[in-house]
Amino acid sequence: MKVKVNIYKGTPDSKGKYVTYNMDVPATDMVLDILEKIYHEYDPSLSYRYACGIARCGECAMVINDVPCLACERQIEPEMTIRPLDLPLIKDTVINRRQVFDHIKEILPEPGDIDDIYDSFEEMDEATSHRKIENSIRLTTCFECMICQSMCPRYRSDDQGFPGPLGLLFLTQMNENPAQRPLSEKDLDMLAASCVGCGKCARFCPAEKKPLHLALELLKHHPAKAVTAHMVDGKTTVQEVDESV
Amino acid sequence: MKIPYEKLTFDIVVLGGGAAGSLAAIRAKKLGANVAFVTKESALVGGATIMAGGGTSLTQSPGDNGDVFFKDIMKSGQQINDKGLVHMVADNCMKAFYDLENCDLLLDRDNLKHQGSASMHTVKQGEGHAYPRAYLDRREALGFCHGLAKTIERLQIPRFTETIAVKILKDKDGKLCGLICYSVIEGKYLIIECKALVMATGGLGALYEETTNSTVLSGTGFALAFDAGTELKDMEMVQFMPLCFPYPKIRRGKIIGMCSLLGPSVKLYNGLGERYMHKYDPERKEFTTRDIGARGNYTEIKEGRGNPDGTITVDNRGFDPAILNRWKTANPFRYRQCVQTYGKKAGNWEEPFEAIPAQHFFMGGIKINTKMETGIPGLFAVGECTAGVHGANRLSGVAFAEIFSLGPIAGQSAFDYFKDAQAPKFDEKAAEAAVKAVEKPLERHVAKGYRPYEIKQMIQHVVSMNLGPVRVGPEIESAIKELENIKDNIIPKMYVSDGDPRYSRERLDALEVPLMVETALMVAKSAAMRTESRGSHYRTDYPDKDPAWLKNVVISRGKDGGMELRTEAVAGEVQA
Ligand SMILES: Cc1cc2nc3c(=O)[nH]c(=O)nc-3n(C[C@H](O)[C@H](O)[C@H](O)COP(=O)(O)OP(=O)(O)OC[C@H]3O[C@@H](n4cnc5c(N)ncnc54)[C@H](O)[C@@H]3O)c2cc1C
Ligand code: SF4
Ligand code: SF4
Ligand code: FES
Repeated sequence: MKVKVNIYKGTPDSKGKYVTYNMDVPATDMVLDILEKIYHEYDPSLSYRYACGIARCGECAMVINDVPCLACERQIEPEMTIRPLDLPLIKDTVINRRQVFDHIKEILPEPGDIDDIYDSFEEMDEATSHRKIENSIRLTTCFECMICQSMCPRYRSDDQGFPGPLGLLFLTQMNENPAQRPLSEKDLDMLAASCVGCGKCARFCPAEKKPLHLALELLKHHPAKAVTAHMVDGKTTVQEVDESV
Repeated sequence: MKIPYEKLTFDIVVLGGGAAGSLAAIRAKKLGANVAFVTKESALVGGATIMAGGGTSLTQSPGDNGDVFFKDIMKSGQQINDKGLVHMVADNCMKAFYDLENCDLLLDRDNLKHQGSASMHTVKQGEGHAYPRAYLDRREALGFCHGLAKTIERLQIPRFTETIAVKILKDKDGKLCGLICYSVIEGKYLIIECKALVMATGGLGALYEETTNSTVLSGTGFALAFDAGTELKDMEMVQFMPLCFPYPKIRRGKIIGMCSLLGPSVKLYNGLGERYMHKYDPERKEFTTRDIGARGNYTEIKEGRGNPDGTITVDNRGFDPAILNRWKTANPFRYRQCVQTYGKKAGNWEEPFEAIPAQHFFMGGIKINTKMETGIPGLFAVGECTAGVHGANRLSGVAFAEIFSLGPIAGQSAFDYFKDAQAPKFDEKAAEAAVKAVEKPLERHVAKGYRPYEIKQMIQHVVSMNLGPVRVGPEIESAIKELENIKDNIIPKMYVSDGDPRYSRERLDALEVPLMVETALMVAKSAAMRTESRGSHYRTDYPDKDPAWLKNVVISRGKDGGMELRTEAVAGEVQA
């Protein structure tokens, strides 16, 4: 298959540009195959990140024809424009994931209460409910690809408060896990003040069980505080937890 | 180009961010040490751990216990496992597993009720297990990763992600004193001084062209350990998975599974339209063990009886819908990829699909004792990078049982050592010189040379062609020759053309190449030495198991830096 690829090249301190390649590749190729080919045959300095190749580690997320997605499972098209996610850039298609994680780390509750609360599975079972388990499972199917983070109009990694949708998801994961303490008033205030409930973050989430939809929904219904009225836009419907999955 | 370096100091460094390394770091940090993490990928918890199916074998069924589990692991490993280590895993896996819930993790339970499991978590009987042992998780292994990652973040353990270790440092007395790493994100070296180092660098899948492992698992850890002077054991024992994706390229070799997962209706056909597994295992046919399954598929393809594109065909029409349902539930991600790769129909088993075998797991590695000590004061190792637990072949779900049981022990041992040990004498000048030595080849300018990725591909090709699931003396010997040629004649002509050190894949490849070739050589030399077939190591020139080979092949570093091979009696006493 003949393809035309426009790929972003640039660093934070230089003016980026798009470089175009025309090539002939197997029709079964994924976008990540194309990046490998460019690195091997055309541009040894091309920076791209990946690890697993099976849509699991989330490291290969980038924007392909204006859709943020995982390059390792995105099929090729005759013409493609490839650029990094809208997050702090390192080089070319590679964003600064470490900075985002570090930022989220700031808001995670301190340890101390995580030491050996439960001695046995059975004891933990008593403290939880079917609902919590189902929620917790679904919330932890996230790939940490940061697509949501890149879509959020309210997230900025230099902003000390709001940890973005991925941070919001992390907090919700802990909230639904019986071994953790529930979200504090402080956390809720912070989330309520920053998240406008637009639902943009959840729109391109590649995780099948849509963990972020659930996180937003849970926050909306959190007894202590409804985050905002219009949690999710028309395009992203929040699914109820599907017991049959 | 002058590449800068930064000097850092910690009590304990954990190398590798899979579950083994994570658990070691959590334990050492909770005990009070100043711990840091170095990992090659960006994911919070990565390695093979994040890619895994998450199946964990546990002694959870009524009647099952550590002794029965021990026997199963030993049988699968063909009795060359380290008995002490096997006991530790078999006896402690349940407790270690429950302990995970103290690491921000909620285990899956109550799932797959339709399977008739009485227990809260899923029980499924796997090949070679005397009892149903498998815990399955609807998130595959992602749940484990999320939990461990949160605990590590909350404990504020500093993480040096996308950073590759390139040299382990010892002081004048032979004690571990630090390591040298290269930060791919920052484009600089890190000289890290520490008292103890836990290696949890995982397997070597990326030495092969086709592997279920991720690209980061190129086996560099084994070469680092060898260079530091540890002994390595069972380096010939490589496990292969029968059914993997043949395409797209990036997914080639990634896991589908084994026939037993697809139910009793599954049949394998070669390119001539013949069923063939009865030739390899007349009794169990398609439902044979992993090693024989992979060997059968490999042989059909290699001997020209595969499909034109070098694959075999999996036909599972007539499947039981309940099994398809179980497959979808317990392996949601694999199901998703099958649908994506083969289309909806074949993904749902209504049409046949193609598959290939691929490298999956590595049983050999760094030799350790039951305290995860390597013999070098201050250097510990745990997880897939070590040898001993699995012997000649691994049972399903035992890799996770291993890393959950032994990971924390490595952290404990490293802490105990650090607490009592006298500080090693760190020599910064020597460390600087080591950085220069590592960097030198990357600054080379040659007229007619090789790019690092080309050499990587050469190594992968040699290893795949000659050290696969079916081996034979002359091929193994030619692998040794070709690898030595790469080491002596090709690598000296390697050059880096990428002038920008920031996130340079080429610099990363260049740092991996010399280590990869060392590890590949260890695999080849061990395979040459073991003149019999046992478990995953199958040689057509020695097709039978030989009782005289009830021992391990051990590699150590000779005075001249070369590899010295010897055999050693199987470790550990059988406990009554
Ligand atoms: C697709 C797949 C499915 C599997 N399914 C199962 C299953 O269902 N059940 C089961 O029991 N087992 C399974 N396994 C095996 C199991 O996943 C692994 O054996 C286990 O996760 C290994 O864990 P680990 O912590 O030892 O190493 P890994 O998780 O592989 O981690 C290795 C770490 O070391 C780092 N590293 C390596 N070299 C360097 C270096 N030079 N410098 C810095 N860092 C380095 C890597 O970046 C990585 O973080 C599966 C494996 C695969 C690939
Ligand atoms: S709902 Fe809107 S504001 Fe809130 S996290 Fe998502 S994208 Fe950001
Ligand atoms: S919630 Fe979805 S979009 Fe966000 S990081 Fe996780 S998988 Fe990616
Ligand atoms: S490479 Fe891991 S998600 Fe694409």
